[in-house]
Amino acid sequence: MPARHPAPGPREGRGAGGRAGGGVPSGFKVFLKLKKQTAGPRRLTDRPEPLTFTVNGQEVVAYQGETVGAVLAALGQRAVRLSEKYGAPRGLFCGMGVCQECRVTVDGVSNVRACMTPVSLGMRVELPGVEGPPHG
Amino acid sequence: MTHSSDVILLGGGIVGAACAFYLAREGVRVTTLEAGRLIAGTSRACDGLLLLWDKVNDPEFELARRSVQLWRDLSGELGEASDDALEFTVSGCLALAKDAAQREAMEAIRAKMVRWGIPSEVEWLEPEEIPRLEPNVARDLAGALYFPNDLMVDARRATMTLHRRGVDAGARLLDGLGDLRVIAEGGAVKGVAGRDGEYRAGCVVVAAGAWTPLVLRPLGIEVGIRPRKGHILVVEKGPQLFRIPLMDTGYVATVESRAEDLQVGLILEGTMHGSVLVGASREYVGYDRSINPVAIARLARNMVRFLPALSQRRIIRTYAGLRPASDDRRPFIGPHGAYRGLYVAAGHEGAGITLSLATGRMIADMITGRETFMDPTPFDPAR
Amino acid sequence: MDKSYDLVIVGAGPAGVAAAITAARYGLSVGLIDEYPEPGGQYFRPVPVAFRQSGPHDDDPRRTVLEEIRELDVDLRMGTAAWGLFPERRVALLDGSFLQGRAVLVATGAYERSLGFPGWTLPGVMSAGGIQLLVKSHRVLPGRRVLLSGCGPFLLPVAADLLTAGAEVVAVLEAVPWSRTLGFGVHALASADRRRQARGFLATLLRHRVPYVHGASIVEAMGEGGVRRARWARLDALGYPLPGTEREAEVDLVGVGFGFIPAIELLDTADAELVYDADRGGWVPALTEALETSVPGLFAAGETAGIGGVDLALVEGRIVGLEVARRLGQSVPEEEMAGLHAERRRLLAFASALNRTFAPPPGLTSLLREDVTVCRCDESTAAEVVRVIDRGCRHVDSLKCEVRIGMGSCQGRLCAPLCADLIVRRTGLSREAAGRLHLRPPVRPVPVTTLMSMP
Repeated sequence: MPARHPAPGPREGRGAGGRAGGGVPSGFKVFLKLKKQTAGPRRLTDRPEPLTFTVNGQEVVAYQGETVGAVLAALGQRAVRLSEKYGAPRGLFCGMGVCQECRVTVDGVSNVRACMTPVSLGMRVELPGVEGPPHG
Repeated sequence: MTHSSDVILLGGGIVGAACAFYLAREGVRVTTLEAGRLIAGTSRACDGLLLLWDKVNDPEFELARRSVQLWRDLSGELGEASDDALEFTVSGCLALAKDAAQREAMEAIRAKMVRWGIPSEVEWLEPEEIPRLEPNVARDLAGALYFPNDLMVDARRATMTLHRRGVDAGARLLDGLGDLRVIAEGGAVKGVAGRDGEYRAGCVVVAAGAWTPLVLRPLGIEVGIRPRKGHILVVEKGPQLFRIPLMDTGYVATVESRAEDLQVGLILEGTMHGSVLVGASREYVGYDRSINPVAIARLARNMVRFLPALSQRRIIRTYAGLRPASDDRRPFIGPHGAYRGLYVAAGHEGAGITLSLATGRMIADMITGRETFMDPTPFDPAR
Repeated sequence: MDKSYDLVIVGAGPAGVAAAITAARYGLSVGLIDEYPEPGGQYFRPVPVAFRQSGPHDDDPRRTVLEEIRELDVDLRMGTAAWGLFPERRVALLDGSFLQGRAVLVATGAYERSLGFPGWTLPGVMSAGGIQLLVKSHRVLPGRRVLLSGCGPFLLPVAADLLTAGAEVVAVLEAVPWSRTLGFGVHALASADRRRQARGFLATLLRHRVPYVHGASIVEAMGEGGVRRARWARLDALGYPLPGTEREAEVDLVGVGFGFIPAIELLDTADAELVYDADRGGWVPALTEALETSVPGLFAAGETAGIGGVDLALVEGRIVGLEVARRLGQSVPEEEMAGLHAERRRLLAFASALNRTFAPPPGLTSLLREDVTVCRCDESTAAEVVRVIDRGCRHVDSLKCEVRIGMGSCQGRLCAPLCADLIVRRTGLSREAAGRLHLRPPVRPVPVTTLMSMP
């Protein structure tokens, strides 16, 4: 049973969007949107509908409409698979479904392109041979 | 521009390459001419199993037996380079029977192997014994035959290796020549003409596969070869599902069938690189090499019937090739009496890779005036 | 059972959408296919609907076509892709269905040409377009400290998007020399719109103090598990790195963009004649004035027809829409058609000049050193490919017979251009003579279940 890790990104239990904190002057809110994204350190905007799924058994918070590839990028998880012959780490390259470098295993099915696959609640994503995602 | 040599090989597929290879090593001055860009024809579109059990008549079997030995010899000769040059493995082969009719075929195949004197090359498996060899194969089969010593190569690598080794031994190799025409005068061949020049030789071996009839017809020669199209699907690399190449025992029937419509048998071969080659379809549609969606649908359904987990995978490539099907299921190998110096080496249907080396050996023996390893009468091109 | 339309369009980018709108306005039945969930292609790639927000480029006036198309009776087949084009204009879709058109338009856009260099396969090295997509559409930063290297003005909006999103851009490296950019700039900035854009991008770079270095290129990406450092160098007149000019920086993201390659694969499988045009991105379909390929009823428009930008794509889409409408009996105003053709000629001239100016210099191929990966799918190295070339193999499609290239999941899209470069370098043949891969269906990996479901 994989250990539960605190999910990176929005503090859980705050509901959709998870604002940075109450009572912040409106001028600052715009600044915070750009710099300290509450939807996750690398996300540029908030988005409304959170969901959870797992990556290598670790629970991850993501948002409706995101792709697996975008979520991995948001997590700072650059390596998504190991090359078959030399075991070299590979990550997203073209981002548009053409290069086939971002192949991961989704719900037991291998060779699914992360960049073109929308996340869904409870989805099991595995990156065989790759460590991660990073915590916090 | 005129070039001259002793022997011209008209056709740069594996049969032509094998002929050139053996001839060059005998010190014969050989030029191989290919109309297209290497590898242009059927040798580009093959799977790589080198089998004995699927041969349909005794002469073909004899030729295959010799040829398989020559493949072993070649791999031994290449040593470490054999991996890169041939991708040679002793893969074995597992022929599955999906129903009662295919189980009957198991009997026929075993009886054939006994008659040919190689009963030890086949092992009979009951359905419950199959999973120990291949756990992912469908669990509702009627039995299987296991051929532990069958061989496998990569057809393209092997073809190019034969070409390159031939060149190393002094053969000349020219491709991209456009349509090639045999030059004949006074009852003898004089050479071959291409787009940019003539190539003179006293001996021409027509090894043009499915296109052989088109080359011979202008000489007034009809030969019983028809193009028989096949498709191959390539399954993307992924978790390995099987080790031993898989076929079905109904495969032989598709080879022997005289039906004009689409025949589908099973071939599943894992390559050294993790991809899987899937065959095998047969249809008579002239020289059309376009991909037929009906054929690839049937190949897909058939492969999943035998190996259900393949349904989760993706196909990344398809290709089609034209087998040179011989009317009487025996290739045409040897001199053609209509012209002095004219030889034919073609018509191997789906066994071209397997039979190429023995064909080359036989042609080299014939041209250098040696007795060859078997009676060549069954392969007489003028029969 | 096939579904039939007057016009089937593969690709819902600017060209495809423009053609669909035009044809639909003339009452034609139109089926429009795209792999993304909404139309837009790469240029208009919208922010996902579920984010319920607009994207940073949503003020582009060209985007009105995305609303227009929704108001018309166009059958939008989104979320699926065409994997084959079979005789009698039957388009095979990944969802197992076939669409048949009295005419078919292939407007599948383009993909980025990469540079092969040591470390280019490391995680964190991405195509510039891929980075832009993540930032602009997915609203996510794939890295914090970025080096951009490539050819052509496309690097500038990518840099600007990254800077606006809060990333640090270490440098923007443009491989062609200053003189080329200046010379072109004078020509290009004749347009007020382009002046405005250029000012905006350059101002952003200036504000963030990002060096915009000409005649330079990345030469190596280094790191364990992912890129951590990048090295770049200045280039000589032919594009060879100049020893002694190397600089390094710590980065966690590298964007490479050395031009675009038309996605002609579907056309190739239909045996449409392709010609080599270096000014249009390489292999492009041979087209009539009406943008018809050598296969009757099969058209091409937008980047597929040759790299030329969004405005050209919109015009070409409209031309095809009108042409098909005319052939199917609609009365199409001659002046409108003539106007579009004139506009097309103008935009073509600009596009060709731009592509010519920013063509990757040949010396960059020297970065494909022996142990550098050429085929990412099968991991063949430059040394392995060169050995086969030196043995006498002089055509990309023949290389596959002796070395693993072009046989993996990407179907040669990444490695074939690099192999052509290597053939040119080793043999002196032209890029055209070095050839290309000839594709058969599927033009993208197709699920076995899709094939099983076909009749």
